[in-house]
Formats: sequence, structure tokens, C-alpha cells
Amino acid sequence: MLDWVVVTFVALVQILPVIAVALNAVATDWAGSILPTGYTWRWVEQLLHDPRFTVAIWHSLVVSFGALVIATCVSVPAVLAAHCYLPRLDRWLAALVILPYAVPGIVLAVGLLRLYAGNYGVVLTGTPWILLLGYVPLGVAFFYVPMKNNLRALPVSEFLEAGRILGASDFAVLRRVVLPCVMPGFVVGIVMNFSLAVSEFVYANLLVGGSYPTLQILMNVLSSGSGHLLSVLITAYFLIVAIATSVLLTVSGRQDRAA
Amino acid sequence: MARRLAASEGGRGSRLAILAAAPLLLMLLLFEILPLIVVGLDGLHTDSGWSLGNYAAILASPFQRNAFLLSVELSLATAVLGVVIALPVAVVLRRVPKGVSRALLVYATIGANFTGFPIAFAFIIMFGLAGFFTLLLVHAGWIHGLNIYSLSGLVAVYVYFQFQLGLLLLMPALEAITPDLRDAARVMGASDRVFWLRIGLPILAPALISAFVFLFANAMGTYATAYALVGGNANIVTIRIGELLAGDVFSDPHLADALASLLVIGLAIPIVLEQILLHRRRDG
Amino acid sequence: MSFVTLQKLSKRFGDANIFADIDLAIPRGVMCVLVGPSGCGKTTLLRVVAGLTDPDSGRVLIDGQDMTRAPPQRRGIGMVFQHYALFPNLTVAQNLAFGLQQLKLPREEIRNRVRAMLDLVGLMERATVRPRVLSGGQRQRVALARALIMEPKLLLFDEPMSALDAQIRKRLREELMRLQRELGFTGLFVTHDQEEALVIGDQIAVMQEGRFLQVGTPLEVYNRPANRAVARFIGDFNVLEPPEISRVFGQESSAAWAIHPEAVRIGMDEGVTARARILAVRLLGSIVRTELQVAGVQLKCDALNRPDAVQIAVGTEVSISILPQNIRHLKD
Repeated sequence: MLDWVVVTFVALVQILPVIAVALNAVATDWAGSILPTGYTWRWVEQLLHDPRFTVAIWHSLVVSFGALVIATCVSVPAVLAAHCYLPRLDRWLAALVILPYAVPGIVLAVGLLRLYAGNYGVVLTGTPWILLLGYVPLGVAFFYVPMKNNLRALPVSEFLEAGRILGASDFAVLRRVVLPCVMPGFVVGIVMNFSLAVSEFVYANLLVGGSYPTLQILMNVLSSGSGHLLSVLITAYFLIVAIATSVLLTVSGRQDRAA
Repeated sequence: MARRLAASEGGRGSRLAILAAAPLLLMLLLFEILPLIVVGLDGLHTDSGWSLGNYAAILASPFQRNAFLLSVELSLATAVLGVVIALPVAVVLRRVPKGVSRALLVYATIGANFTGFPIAFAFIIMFGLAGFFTLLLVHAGWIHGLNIYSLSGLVAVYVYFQFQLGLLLLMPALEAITPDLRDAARVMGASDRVFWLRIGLPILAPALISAFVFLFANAMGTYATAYALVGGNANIVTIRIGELLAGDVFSDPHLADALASLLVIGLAIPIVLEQILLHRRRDG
Repeated sequence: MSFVTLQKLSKRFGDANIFADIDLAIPRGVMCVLVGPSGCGKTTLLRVVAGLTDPDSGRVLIDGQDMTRAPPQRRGIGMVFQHYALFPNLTVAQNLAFGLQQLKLPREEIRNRVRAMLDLVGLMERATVRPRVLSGGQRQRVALARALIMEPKLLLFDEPMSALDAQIRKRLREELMRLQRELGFTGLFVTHDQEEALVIGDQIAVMQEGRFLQVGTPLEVYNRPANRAVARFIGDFNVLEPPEISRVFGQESSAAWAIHPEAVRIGMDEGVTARARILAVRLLGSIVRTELQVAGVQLKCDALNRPDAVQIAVGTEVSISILPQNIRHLKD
């Protein structure tokens, strides 16, 4: 009984912020009353017709999918190679991928600003490139940790030896056997990297800012104006994250049933 | 052992493996290691050359000192609250049906990452000057008004994501408290209180310490949420660094680097302490 | 007068009937084994006796007292869990002391009793280590000691040997039987291993789908299985259905026959007889197991190994016979 009170309370606490923002997005007026006095699509339409919104969505998608592609191409082969062939490197990698959790993003942002603002002949700040490349170290852990959990359960070296005896190259074994086995971890990595890139504010604000505004930057701009437009924007962001998460759940649910 | 075998088998294989790992290592070097080194070095740079002048300036300035103090207080408070709220909730979640706890945990994964404008603005809608909870409470006659744009407002918003992060960190650790441990204690006549004091909490202690340190680091490094809620009005370290970077305030350009270095050092201390503490426990 | 009495115990979880109308009487000082396939309800029944699960109906009497709703610690029981349930944060000695501390006994007495118990199970030199560094067998002994130290009137065992390998299991089994002889406690032991049940039990209750199929001494259950299910589960019976009986032995029977492998004799012709072909000969310890085939039916035949015996080649035709009194007619 008490258990359910706790569960209900936690669920309410979790969901209330989302409901509040979504309600405010369609409220005519919500000041001085406990619930909105009326509902309207006006704010939604206004934002949809706002060129700043179209640009921000486009920029966010470019950054998110771009960072996702780069992070995947760079991280996945490295995690596999380190686990299967380079155990010494693997131990270093374990520490390196966790480092961004101990070092705040703002500290790294300071360093990136010093390095890539032209002091050393390279200018990446003010362009989406600093985000596309800078997000890679932040998101490796999302590939490394879940894939490593999958890999640990596999006798990879025995697979490779069995493959050699059967005349299959290591690459074939990795692609046809090992990679499918780490699929669940791989999917977690993809979705989390995507969410990271749409949610990230520190790099976006300090390293790029107005010269390539993303959703998060537009939130900053709108925060000084009508709260309703900001609410619509945040709701849009919630929707994107919700879609990404449901993709993750669908895929991992299918994996569970297959297992 | 077995893995080393695979590695030694084909020199060609391991050379290809290095090739496959190289891009990531390069990225980590360029966008993680080098930036950190540059911050560390630049922090030691002043107009008059290498010196600890920046650090002296920070320590001499009550403004900067208070920023650190407030950051530490905020992080300590929200880390403690996060763990203290998450632990009983996690215990409850182990008892309810799997589907329910899974749903809550999935949401916690999202909730733990609701930072910055989305969560700050949601709290403004709920607890701001005209927020509906504020009005509800005012109508009920319990309060005269809330100030979300304050330190306690920051604490509230931080705790929202901190406790969900704590939940994610503690749930796996609770697996160690198996039902048969509780049964065994019951058969031997231990009450729930005795069980938690003598068995449950001691088993969880390492996980609780780790979770606390993680939450502390998380709060110390939080920038977007504080920025979104109170802008420059919050005198916390990350906001100060951000301001120095944005150049709103006239100051020594290397002060940001020194502040950032101090922040990293400040975070390293609890992490190192935790490692020493947990290793001593493991050996003993 | 039995020491433990279970009367009409029933338990359901939702729609699933775990067990129904269970009656059992265990005399004082007897080791009773509940044996059955996994999921037959034996563990839940044990937990009801322990007071960790409440029955829907029925009564649990221990030493003449109704304990049906009493909390576990008031029942005077000790319990050994399947995965030992040792407290990982406490040392071996602290694990043993835990229950005594709950009784608020004087420190000195606790220390003495812990020492005596460590001595009894031979773990004195491991007193100050944590369970993590112990071997499986040692953990099992600590779990047993932790249960025994409370001087329980009744000891409950939930598949305590299932996580151990065969060698250690055999040693621990002997140690458990020695302790029971020395201390004379009453025991209720749950297992799915029929061989273990026959060795350890003074009394055996064969359980399937929430009912007792047969309760009796090991010899009774082994020699006179009440029905097909017991015959198949306990012992390695040859079970022949009526059509098979007529094909093999040329006899008509309305009931199925259960024949122990050791009742099948090669090269004699007393009782019912048949001609059989030898498929394989294997050595199981001191027993020679011969697999035979008669009219498409396979039979197992066990005989004590004799070092001087001439080995019969595979493929040879031999005559076999079974004494009528060694044939058990199964009603169902």
C-alpha cells in the first residue's frame, strides 16, 4: 500500500514538469490562475511559422545526426578492437571514456575555446564542426559501457578461434557473430548519443552560440520573451527525446523477447 | 588470459585493431586530453609569465571564494538529498511489479538528463511567481509566495535530476540485498530496523558513497540549469567561468582557466578519497 | 506423537495452486526429505513451515504448539538457504553471532557458543574472514553452523547442496548426517535430487504438482513405489506398459510393471523369462549396468561387479529372468 503511494508520488514528480510545459504551450493565458483560463493553438502556429524555429530545428538535426554518425563510426570499431585485441588499451579506454563524467563540460569548453578559436591556427568555434567533433568524447561512454556489458558475456576469443578453424576471417566473425550479439548495447549508444547532442547546451552556447543556433540556443533567445513560445519549443524538444527513447525501448524490447 | 591469446595469434590482426582504434584515440586526444592540458597550463599563465598569480587572485577575491563555497554547498546539499530520496524509492521499486519499476526507471533515464532550459522553465511554470503550485499553496494559505529564482529554487531543480540519477545508480546495487538475506535475518529474529542497520546499509555503503560522489560531481559541473534559471545571478563557479568566457566582465583572460582548473582539482579530491576508501574496504 | 504436524495446508498464488490439503507428521529426531521436481511446491511448503510465507488454510504444529501464524523467530527453527544467504559484510564469526545477538545474550556466552560451533564444523581458523573468500563447501558449513547455533528444535534445508559439485556434496552430506546423529535435531530437507533424498532421509515425502504421491521410509519408497510417477522419479525402474509386457514376456497384465534394474538377472530362468540382446555394458562404480533389448523394448540390468567375471560381448543373445515377487504392479 505504502509502496504504491511512493510509486505514484515519484511518477507524478517525474511527469509533472512535462505536463506543465505542454499545458503552457497551448494555454491562452496562465498567469494569476491555478489552471489555464483557455486553450489555443496560436503559439504552436506562431512558432511553426517562425523562421528561427525552422533554422534551429534544421541545425539541431544536422548536429545530432552528424555527431551521431561521427561518434558511431569512430567509437564502435574502437570499442570492439580494444576488447578483442588490445586489452591494455582497453583498460586505458575505460578510464578515458569515464573522464567527462568527472570533468565538467564547462571546463572542457574552456579548453576547446583556447585551442580552436584561432590561437593555434585552427578555427572551429562558431561553426557546427566544434560540436560534431567535440561531442564524440562526451558520448563514447554511451557506446563503451553497454557494449562492454554485452561483450563481457561473450567468449570472443573462442569465436575467433572457431572461425579460424572453419576458415572464416576474424573480420567475418566480428561482423556476422560478435556485432549482432552487441546490438542491444549498440542501440543504447546510438539513442543516448543522439539525445546528448539535442540536449547539450554548454558547448552550443559557449562555443557556437548565435552563429549556428540550435534548439537549445533558441530556448535561450526565447526565454526573454513570451513563455508560451518557449513552452512550445520545449514541448517539441520533449517529443524528440520521447521518440528517440521509444525507438530504444522498441528495439531493446524486441531483443528481450528474442533472448 | 584467453583474450591475450587472441591478440598474440595474429600480429596482422592486432595491427588492424590499432588502426580501427586510432580515430577514437585521436578524437579523445584532440577534444578531451589536449583541452584539459591547455586549461591547466593557461591557468598558470599571467601577463608577466608563468606564475600562480591567477590562483592567488581567485583566493584573494571574496567574490570568487564565495562562488566556490556556494557551489560546494549546493552540490553537497543536492547530492545528499538525491541519495537520501533515491535509496528508499529504489527499495520500494524492487518490491513493485517489474513493469512498473521498469517504466519509472526508463523515465528516470530521461529525467536525469532533463537539464538546462527545459527543466528550469518547467519549474518556473510550476513554482514561479505565478506558477500553479505557488498559487495553489498561496490559496491554501500556507505561504505568501515562492521565489524560484533563488538558492532554494536551484536546490529544488537540482534535486529533481539528482534523485533520478541516484535512482539509476542505486538500483543495480540493491541487487546485492537478496530476499533470502532478509529471510535469513527474519528467521534469526532480526527486525527490519536491525536488518537495515546491521546488514542492508553496510552492504550498500560502497554504492552509496560512489553515488554520492557522482552526484556531487554532477552538481558541481552543472551550468545549463543554473544559467537557465537564474542567469548570472547565481554566484556559482560554473556560471562565473561561463561569464569570463563570454567576456561580459572585464577580467584577466586566464582567470577562467584557473577557475576551471580549481574546479577539476576540487572534484578530483572526493573521487580520489572515494577510491582510497573503497579499496581499503575491499582489502580489509 | 509427532514433533512437526502439518494439517490440511493449502496455498495459492493468484490462479496457481501451489499445494493443497497437505498432511504430514514428522517424528522427533527424524530427518524428513521433501523430494520432487522443481516447481512442485516443496520450497513454498518449507517456507510455510518456516513462517516466511503464510498458508491460505491449514495448520502448522511444532512440538504440539500451533505455530501457523507465529513469526519465524518464535518457532524455534533454523534454516539453511539454497544460496546460503550469508551476510557478506560480516565475518564468519559475526555471521554465527548475529542470531544470538538478537536474543540479547551476554557477550561472553555468545563468544563461547560461536567458538564451540566453529569447532564443531571445523572452521575455527576461518573465523575472521568474510564469506566472499570461502569456498562453496565452507560457505555451506557456515550456513549450517549459523542455523545450528540457535539450538533450533527444527532445522529447515532449502536445497542446500544444489550449488555444490558432486564430491563436496557427498562429503557435506556425511557431515550433516554426523551432526544430526550427534545433536539429534529434527529436520525438514527439500531437494530435487532423488539420490540425495534416499541417502539423507529417514522419512521421504515424494511431491508432485502440490500433492504428496507417497510418504514413507527410503526403502519403502524405493522398493514399493505407490504409482508410476514415483517409480519414474525415485529409482531407475524399468517401467513396462501392458502391451510391452505381452511382447517381451508373453504375459497378459492389466497393470504396468515396475522392475528394479537389480531384479533383472542374466543367464537364469526362474520366474518370467525372455531372450534379450546386449546393447551396451557400462560400469557405474561397483555396479555393472547392462543395457538390453527385447522385442524393441529396452531394459536396464544392474549387477554387482565381480572382478573375476567373464565379460559378455555386446550383441550377444542371453536369457534373462525376473522373480515374480520382484515385479511391482502399478495401479496408476
